[in-house]
Amino acid sequence: MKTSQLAAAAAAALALALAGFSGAASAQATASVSADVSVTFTAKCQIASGSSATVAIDFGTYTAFGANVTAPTKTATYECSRGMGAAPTFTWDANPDGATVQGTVKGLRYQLTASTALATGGAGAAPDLVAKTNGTPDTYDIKIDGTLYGGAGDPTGSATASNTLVVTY
Amino acid sequence: MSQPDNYRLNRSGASRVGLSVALALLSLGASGQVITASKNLTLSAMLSAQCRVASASSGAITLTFPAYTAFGGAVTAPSQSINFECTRGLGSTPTFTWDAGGGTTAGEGILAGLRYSLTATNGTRTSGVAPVLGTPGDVGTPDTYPVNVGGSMPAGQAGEGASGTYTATRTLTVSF
Repeated sequence: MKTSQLAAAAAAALALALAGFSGAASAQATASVSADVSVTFTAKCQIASGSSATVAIDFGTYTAFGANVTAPTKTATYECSRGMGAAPTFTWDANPDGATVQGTVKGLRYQLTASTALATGGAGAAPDLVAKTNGTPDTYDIKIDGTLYGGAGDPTGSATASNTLVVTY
Repeated sequence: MSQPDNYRLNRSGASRVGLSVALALLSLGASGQVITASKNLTLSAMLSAQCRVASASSGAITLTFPAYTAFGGAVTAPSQSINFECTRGLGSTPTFTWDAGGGTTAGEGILAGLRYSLTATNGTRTSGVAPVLGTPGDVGTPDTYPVNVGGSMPAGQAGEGASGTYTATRTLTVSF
């Protein structure tokens, strides 16, 4: 009985030794775990950092009873989250319903009109993970045109008026 | 009454037998000390060292970034800790790789068009205990490696798409 047990133990030892030999170059131990990543994101538009929040529409010098004057088009740039998709709409402080507003300055009637388009090359780029860049926004040009209508006006002098344009995306 | 001769002879013979038995026992006593024999057994085993997520840390890690408004400031997800348990004495310092995202395994990713970075750092290892042979059933304990996982999003990003909650699942592989 003892003899047979010893023989079995020896055989087992041999088998384990052989197994150990074949697996001597063991692989590196690894373990994996999943990570669920989440964020609540709010898309947004804002005036681009390189664009002023105030646009000056200059009608120049106007002599009473002269022709209408068109001011040089001014542009403001907005930047938005990529792919927001919806076309922006405009409201003026004095005209909450549309892209055009009228007012008077020095007794002369003027009209401002806003229009927009995706800026040239304004489609933003997604982040580049290899280059570790954060991507860029879509950019839109807001063009504002102004017309001063001819008339008698008020006494000579300079005057300014202010209007606020609200852009909604 | 006198004994017959043959009886006397028998008595004499019995005495001789008794003497011979006594001698035999004496002889046995001298050689009957504990008999021992030894044999060395060489035991070997192949151990495939392993690491695994500790049971108390099972399930996915949840990294929730604070709400991010486009063009806003940087945000950092609260760090999460997970424990791995390993064969004792692996000795090496764990290294980390993330599943490939955007061509890199450095933990970079994009969520809602926002770039984020995930990090994994080693905590302090707790050494396991070898089996105590005097304690029935004791098999020892593994070394424990805590790993801290965090994430951050840089400031000023435009993001992409409509407002809402976005999720992604990443896989962290730890090599020991």
